Amino acid sequence: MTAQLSELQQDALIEIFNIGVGQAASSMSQIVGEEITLSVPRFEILHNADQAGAIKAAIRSTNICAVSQDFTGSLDAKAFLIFPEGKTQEIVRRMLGDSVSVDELSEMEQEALTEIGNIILNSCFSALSEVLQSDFKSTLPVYHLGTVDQILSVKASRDDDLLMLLHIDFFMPSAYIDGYLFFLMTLPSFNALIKKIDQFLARAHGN
Amino acid sequence: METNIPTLHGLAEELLRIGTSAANGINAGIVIIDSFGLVWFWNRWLEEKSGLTAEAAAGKPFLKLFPELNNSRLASAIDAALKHGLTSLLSQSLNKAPLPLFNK
Repeated sequence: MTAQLSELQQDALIEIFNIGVGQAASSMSQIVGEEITLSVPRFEILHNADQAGAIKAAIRSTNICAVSQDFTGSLDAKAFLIFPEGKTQEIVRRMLGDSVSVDELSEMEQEALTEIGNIILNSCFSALSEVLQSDFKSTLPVYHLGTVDQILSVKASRDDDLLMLLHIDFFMPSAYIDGYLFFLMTLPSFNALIKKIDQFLARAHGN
Repeated sequence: METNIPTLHGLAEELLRIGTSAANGINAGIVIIDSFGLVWFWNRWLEEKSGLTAEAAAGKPFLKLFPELNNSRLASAIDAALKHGLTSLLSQSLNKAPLPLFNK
C-alpha cells in the first residue's frame, strides 16, 4: 500500500507545519529576547520498512537526541523532534544566554531541550487542530538520547505504519541548526489526516 | 455490618480529602483551573508564597491574579491546554520563575 499525496495536499501540509513552527519560533524568541526563525522547507512520507535506514541517511549520524510526545484524537501520532547528537548544546546555549557556565549548561541541557521540543511539537499540533478543525490530547514530553534504532523502536511499530519526516531549520542569532520532525502514525491515522486536509482544501476553495 | 460498605459518594469524598491533603503537603505550588481559566484549587504552598488565601483565589480568573503573566509563556501554555488539550512543560532552565512570587 503506497501513500501518495497530491501536490495540493503537500502544499497544505507544509503550510500548516510552517504556521505551527512559526508560532513556536515566536514563543522561543519571547524566552530568549532575540529573534529566532523556524521553518519547515520540505517533508517526505516514509514507509516503516525503510524508516530507520532513511533516517540514518538523512541525519548522517547514528546517535541522536530526541524529544517525543504522543498525540491522540482526530488522528493518533507519536511525534519526535530529532537532532544529531552534539547539535543540541548550541541551541540550548543560545536559549540560556552567555551567563551560564559549561557545567551548568550540561545540567540544564536536557530539561531546556525537553521544553523546546514541547513548544515545537505542541505548536505543530495547535496549527493542525486549528486549520484542520481537529481535537488532540497530548502526553508530557520525554527526552531520549541514543541510537536511531533504540529511540524509534520505543514503540514497536507495525509494517504498515507511516512516517512523516519534516526537515526543520533553526535560524538563531549567528547560528543555523537543522533538525527533523518525525510523525509516526498508523495507516488509518494517515488516511484520517488526508481526509481532514481534503476538507480544509474544499473549504478554502469554497467548493 | 452494612455501615462498613462505603457508598460511592463516601468514596469520592474520602478520595477528595486524601488528594487535598497530599496536594497541600507538598513543597510546590499546585493550582487547578477550569476550562474558563477560573481557579478551583490553590494549595497551601501557593497561599504562603503568594499571600493570597485559597478562599480569596477560588473562582477568580487565574491570569487576572497575576497581571504580569499577560503574554507570558505560562499564559500560552494555559491557552494550549484549554483550547487544544495540549500538555506543556515549563522547565526551570528556561523559566526561572513562572509566577511572580519571589520578587514581591
